Amino acid sequence: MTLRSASGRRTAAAVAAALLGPPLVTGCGIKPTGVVESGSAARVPVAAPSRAPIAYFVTGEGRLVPSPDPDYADNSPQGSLQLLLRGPGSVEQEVGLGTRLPPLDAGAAGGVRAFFTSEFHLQVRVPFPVAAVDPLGLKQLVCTAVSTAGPTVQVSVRGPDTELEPTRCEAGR
Amino acid sequence: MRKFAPLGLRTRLIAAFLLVAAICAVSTAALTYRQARSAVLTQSQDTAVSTLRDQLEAQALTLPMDRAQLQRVVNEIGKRGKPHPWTVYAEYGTLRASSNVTPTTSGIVTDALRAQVADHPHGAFQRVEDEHGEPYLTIAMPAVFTHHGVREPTGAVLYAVMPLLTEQQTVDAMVQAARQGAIPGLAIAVVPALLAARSVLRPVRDLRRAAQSMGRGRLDTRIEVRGADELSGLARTFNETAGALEESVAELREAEVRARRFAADVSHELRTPLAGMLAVTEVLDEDAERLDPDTAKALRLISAETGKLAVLVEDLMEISRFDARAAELNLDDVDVAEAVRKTLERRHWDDDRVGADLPHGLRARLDPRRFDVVLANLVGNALRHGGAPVRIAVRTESREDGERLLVEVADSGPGIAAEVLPHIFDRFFKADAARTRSAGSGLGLAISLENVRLHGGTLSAANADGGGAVFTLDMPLETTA
Repeated sequence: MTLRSASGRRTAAAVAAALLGPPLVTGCGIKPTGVVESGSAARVPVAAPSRAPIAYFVTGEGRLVPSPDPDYADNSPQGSLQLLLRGPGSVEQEVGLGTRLPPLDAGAAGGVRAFFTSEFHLQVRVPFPVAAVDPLGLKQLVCTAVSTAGPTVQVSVRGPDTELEPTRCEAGR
Repeated sequence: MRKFAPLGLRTRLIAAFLLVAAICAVSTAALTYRQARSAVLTQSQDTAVSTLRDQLEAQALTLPMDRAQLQRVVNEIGKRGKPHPWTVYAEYGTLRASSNVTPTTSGIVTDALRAQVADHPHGAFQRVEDEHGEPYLTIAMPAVFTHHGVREPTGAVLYAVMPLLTEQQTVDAMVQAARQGAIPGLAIAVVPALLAARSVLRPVRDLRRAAQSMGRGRLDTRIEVRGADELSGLARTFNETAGALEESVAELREAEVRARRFAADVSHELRTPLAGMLAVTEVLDEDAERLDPDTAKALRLISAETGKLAVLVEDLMEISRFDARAAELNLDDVDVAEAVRKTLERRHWDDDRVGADLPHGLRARLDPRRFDVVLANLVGNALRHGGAPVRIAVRTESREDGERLLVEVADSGPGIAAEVLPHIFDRFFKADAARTRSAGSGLGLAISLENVRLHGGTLSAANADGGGAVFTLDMPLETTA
């Protein structure tokens, strides 16, 4: 009898602890959280016609940043590439954007060629060796080349030394 | 049991009620609090995130943005914080802009949040605490634009930092409300606990009183049966048991009364024929000398046994009167020494077999006939079973219940065996089982005891230190009727 009442008391205490414990442990107040993803990004209207050529430059952290030029007349892939190879303008430099492509002489920018070999394949020829070019630089080339054609087009980059595997622009992904 | 349960039923019931009430109150409050807190925070967070998104989507951007444009966007959005005012920061390339003139809280945006939106261009938020422990909501909103049907990041990310002070106050108010609600709840729980304890304790108390009353001999005790629960069942059972007990006790008493009346009737009926027989045997005794010796011997035996039978019948009638409570005291003022001497003389015990130590001039108020019977029985018993010389000592003693008369009768025999001592005053008790025939009726000591009791005294038997039995009569010197 004595044993039973003692263990009964212990059981009651355990039940009380089990019921009261979790809510009390949770605590009061507002606790910090980890990063929580919440909805889509903000889709902002950009002041540029959809066919305007876009040159992609690179931030200090190594990310591509689009820099459209609605006033640039030549909206062919070749025109876009010439825009890129001219290098960052004054606004881009203020923002801290740069390029990973080798510097070219002013006249040499015209040495770039781009032509469709099929509906979804673009051949790009540049007047510098491409094997040693930074992968970010290649991305710049590819994305700039298809900025007026659309991201479904495959791009093969060819320099005086070699031709690289065809790739697609991944800027949107 | 006693060691582990020092608390009464009432205390334990109240404790159990309070425990249950506390568990209910705390768990309800805690669950409600958690739900409410998460609802409050979710709403604020969702509102803030969607507001920032809407505000940013309303801004037309020209890429690449210059410092002036970035500052304009930040200033525009910084004014429209919802649900609370916020501070907006923008990061674009190496450009940094803030809606606050003194950017004191930009450090609160964590690198984890920056990395998250850089890798995944989606809205994101994080709750953080500043160095004072104040909660803040930080939101990151990358700006994207549609290019050939694909969303491309513009490279600009807006951060909004919003203090959650209002939410903190709301949450604190909920804790306060839960606490203030629980304490009156617990206080109210005491009331049903007391009522429940009362409904259990009252029948238990009644039952205890009834049991005590029955223990004191009041067999007609009954409990009032209320309701139809287990306790009223117990009360009903108690009443039934008490009824059955009362009935059987009554039956036993009746049987005893019948038996006693039968003994009284028998002795009464025997008295008349015995009186006749005694008269005849006396006449025959006188003529016995003239008969032949054998016949004379037989005749004397019959005469002696008839005498004994007459004594036995007289004793039986005497004890029947005691049983029927018909015995009465005829009190008189007597000289005790005189009374003792008369008793001894009447039985011819005035030789040296019996010695008496009698105080001179001691007067007592008692029934002389019954005192004579008691003393004669004690001395006769001492002479028969103990042995001469028998000493009688009479003295008085003062006690808080008045003056007492003490008479001690001591014999010089072997004393009384220890196993016999408790039964020495029983009726027809034979100290020596082998000696079934004795001169006495077997009722002498029983009658003595009844007579002493009638005087309000006691009669006790013991063995003296030097051997021999001592009977002590202890009765009031002045018996009141």
